[in-house]
This record gives sequence, C-alpha cells and structure tokens, in this order.
Amino acid sequence: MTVDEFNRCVDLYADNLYRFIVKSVKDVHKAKDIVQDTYEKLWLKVNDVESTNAKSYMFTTAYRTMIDQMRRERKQERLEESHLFAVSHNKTYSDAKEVLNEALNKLPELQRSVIMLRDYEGYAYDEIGEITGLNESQVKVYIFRARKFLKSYIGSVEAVI
Amino acid sequence: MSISEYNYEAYFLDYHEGRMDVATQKELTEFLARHPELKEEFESFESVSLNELAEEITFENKESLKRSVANISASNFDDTAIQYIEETLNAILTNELMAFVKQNPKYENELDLYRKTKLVADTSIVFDNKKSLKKDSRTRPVIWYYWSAAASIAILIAAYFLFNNNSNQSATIVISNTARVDTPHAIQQVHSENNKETQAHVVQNQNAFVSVTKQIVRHSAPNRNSTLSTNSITTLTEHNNIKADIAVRNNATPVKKDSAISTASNNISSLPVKDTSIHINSNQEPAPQFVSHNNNEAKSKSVFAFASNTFKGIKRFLKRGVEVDRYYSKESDKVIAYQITLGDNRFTLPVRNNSY
Repeated sequence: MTVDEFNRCVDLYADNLYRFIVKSVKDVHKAKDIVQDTYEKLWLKVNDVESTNAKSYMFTTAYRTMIDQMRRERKQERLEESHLFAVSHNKTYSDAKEVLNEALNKLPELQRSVIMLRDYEGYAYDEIGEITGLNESQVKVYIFRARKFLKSYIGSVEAVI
Repeated sequence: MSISEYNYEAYFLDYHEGRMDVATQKELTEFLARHPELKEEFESFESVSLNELAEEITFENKESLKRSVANISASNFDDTAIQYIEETLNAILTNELMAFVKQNPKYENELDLYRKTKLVADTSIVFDNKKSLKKDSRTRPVIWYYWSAAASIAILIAAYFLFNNNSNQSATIVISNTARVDTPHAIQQVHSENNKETQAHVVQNQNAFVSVTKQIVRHSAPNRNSTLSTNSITTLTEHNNIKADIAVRNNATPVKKDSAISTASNNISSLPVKDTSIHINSNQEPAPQFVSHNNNEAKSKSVFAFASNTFKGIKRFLKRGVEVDRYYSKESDKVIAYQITLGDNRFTLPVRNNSY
C-alpha cells in the first residue's frame, strides 16, 4: 500500500471505524485512541497490507484492540441469553431511533459488534467471522439473537408507549 | 466386412441400438439362419437396458422438499423474518412470507418490528481529526525510523561519555596558541609570571597516547611579549627523546610569536631535563582543536575517542563486552587498523592512507 492509499484509507474508513468503536466502548476518548492505534498498526504494516484488504484489516485490528481493552478493564458483559431479556423501561424515548440505540446498548458486546458490522458496514457473515474470530455459523446465531432481542425490546417499548 | 463368428456381437449391438441399415439387417438375418445356436444370445441383447431400472428408483418424499405458504408458520416465522431482514431470503420465500403475513395480520406488526431492528449508521458521528492519522507522502520508510532512533541513541551515549570522560586522552582541547617544547623525559607544571590563568596541555609527541598534565599555566597575558617559565614541573610520563607540544590557552591575549620562554627547572630534580627550551609559536589564528603535529592524526584520535566512547556507552547499556582497539604499524606509529570486539565476535576495520 502506498502512502497515498494509506491516506485515502483515512478518508474512507476513519469515520466508519470510529462509529463502530464508539458505539461499542461508549467513550469517545477511548474510541479515538483505538482508531489512532489502529491506523498506527496499519502504518507499521503499510508494506504488507494491500489497499483492498485495508478496511478488513483495520476493523479486525480495532475490534481486537477494543476487546483486549475491555477485558483489561473487566467491563465485558456476560453473554448469557437470560441477560438479553433483563430489560426495563424506566425511560421515555423521543423517537424510534433512540429506542433502537438504547436497545443496541443493552446488547452483549459480541452481539452488538456483529450486528453493527452487518448493518453499518454491510459485511458478509464470513467477513464478520474473520474480524471477530467466530465461524460463520456463530456469526449467524449472534445476529439472529441480536435481532430477536432488538425486536423484543422495541416491541415492549412500543407497547408501553 | 461381413458378419462372422468373430464379430457378430458388434452387429448384434448395432441392431439393438437401431444403428443398422436395411442391407446389413438382411445380412444379419441370413447369418442367424446359418447359426441358430446364436439366436438365444441375439435375443438376450434386447433385455439389457438400464432405462427400466432407472425408472423404478424414485424419491418418495418429493413433496417434503417443496416450499409453500403452508410451511411458514408461527414456529418458523422469526427465522424467516430475520432472513428477510438480513436479505438472505430468496424471492420465492419472500413472496411466501408476504403472503403469510397478509393472511395472518397479527404477524404484520411482528415483521414491522423486525424491520425496525435494521441499524442505520449515524453519519453525524465522525472522527474529526483525520489529519492526525495521515502520513506525509515524503515520509521515509518505517525502517529508517528505527535506524534513526538507534543512531540518535548511539550519538547521545557517545556524547555523554565523551564529555564526561576523565581520561588523559582528552581530544577536545581548544587552544589559541601553541608552544613547542623540545622536552626531555618529563615536564611538570607550567606557570606564567603573573596570575593570569592560562590552561596548558602538555602532549606527548608520539602517536599512541596523549598525556595531559594539570593544565595550569600562569601567563603574563596582557603583555604580548609573554614569557613562560617552567618554575615547577611535576612528573609527566617518562619517555626518552620526547618532543612535546605545550598548548597554551591564553584567555587574555594571544602570545606574541617567538616569545621567549624560560624553562627553569627548579623542581626537576628527580627527572633531569635535557634541552628544556620552550618555543612559543604564537600565531594569531585559532589553533587546531587538538595539539598535534599532524591534523589527520588529531582527527583520527578524535574519531577514535568518539567511537571508543560510543562503544563504552553501548557496553554499559547492553552489559556486553564492546571494545575498540587500535593496531599500529611496526615500522611507524601510524594506526593501521581498528578492531571492534562485541562479545565473542570481532570485526577488524583496516585504515587506508592513515586517514578517515
């Protein structure tokens, strides 16, 4: 990858990467640090990574950095199914987007990551698997569970409203 | 070619596969009439056909493989709806799902909720300092950063040890004037007649080592007709036939050329001085940075000191033996090679033309 291609990657993917990370870590400073760190890692591999694979490389690197950081901070949420439905609605929402955002925040980390990669970035199941280290079937299962939870959450909020 | 006992099978096969013309068929009939024992074999060809056998084998449960509206139910609605949202449902099943929802209005709301689970990126969230991520296209390859960093560290280490070096081999003497001394075995201290302090460096005039005395010369600086006297001279290094240079740092005024210097050797009792005349070459231009007859030699010694101190510093940091040794010519006192010892490894760097 040339320097120009690297800089083009900044223009093309920095926002997407930041959006993905900040939605996960919920901390703009940490998210920015991870984005910076990811681009530094890409720069160190600038001679090895092709520009066509750069996006995937960055999302993979950023995701793993984020997970490592979360583990270090002992903030990783439990992945048990029972957690999915332990929701309450003590809050008022202004629009459907806000409800969805709230529901997204309540997803376990892994489910949130896979569904964001799917919807925000349009990644295929196998690509999400490469980024997250899951196999394709696991990715489908997590997306399935995530959608069921989101639908359930949105439905319950609408019922309350 | 006519039909015989040796090729009749081919004719039988052609006949049963319908690839025989009328004339040949007539010939085959005549052949069978002549050979009635082959009639049974001829008829057996007729029964060998896999078509009938193939037709007998059927997949009994074809209907179970087919898809229809009836297959979408409450039990698999979620799966189908999610596949629809995921855009992995084919056109036929999508139509069936729509038909199912139409027939069962309560699932219409469910499907609508699934549609709402589709995330849309919030484009207002942006990384606002992309410039900090970009690289200058003129930037050197990454590898150079490492080399630059390593070189910088080496230079810093060398500079540290060079300027903190208490060795008598100091090569960074700045002088204004030089005083040549055809000296004997030893020189001690050099003082001037007044209290104007001037530093002097007495240098052994052989290439191997530089010996520096206490470096204090009291010199009548304001008067250009300076007179230096070796009122007291402490022990230097003893050598025969030494020709030493005295470097005088005149803090006030340059010493006048050809000034006479008294070299009375009051205290040279232990080491007799032969020919103690001191001659001041008082040029007005700045003197070289190293007191020596030969500029190249001075440069060589400076570089050697720099390299040597670099390796000393590296040795101290790495805790490994790093040493630099010089090798001299047997015929002269010129340096002919440097040897670097790093742990068990040795590298010899020959010197060409006695200069760098």
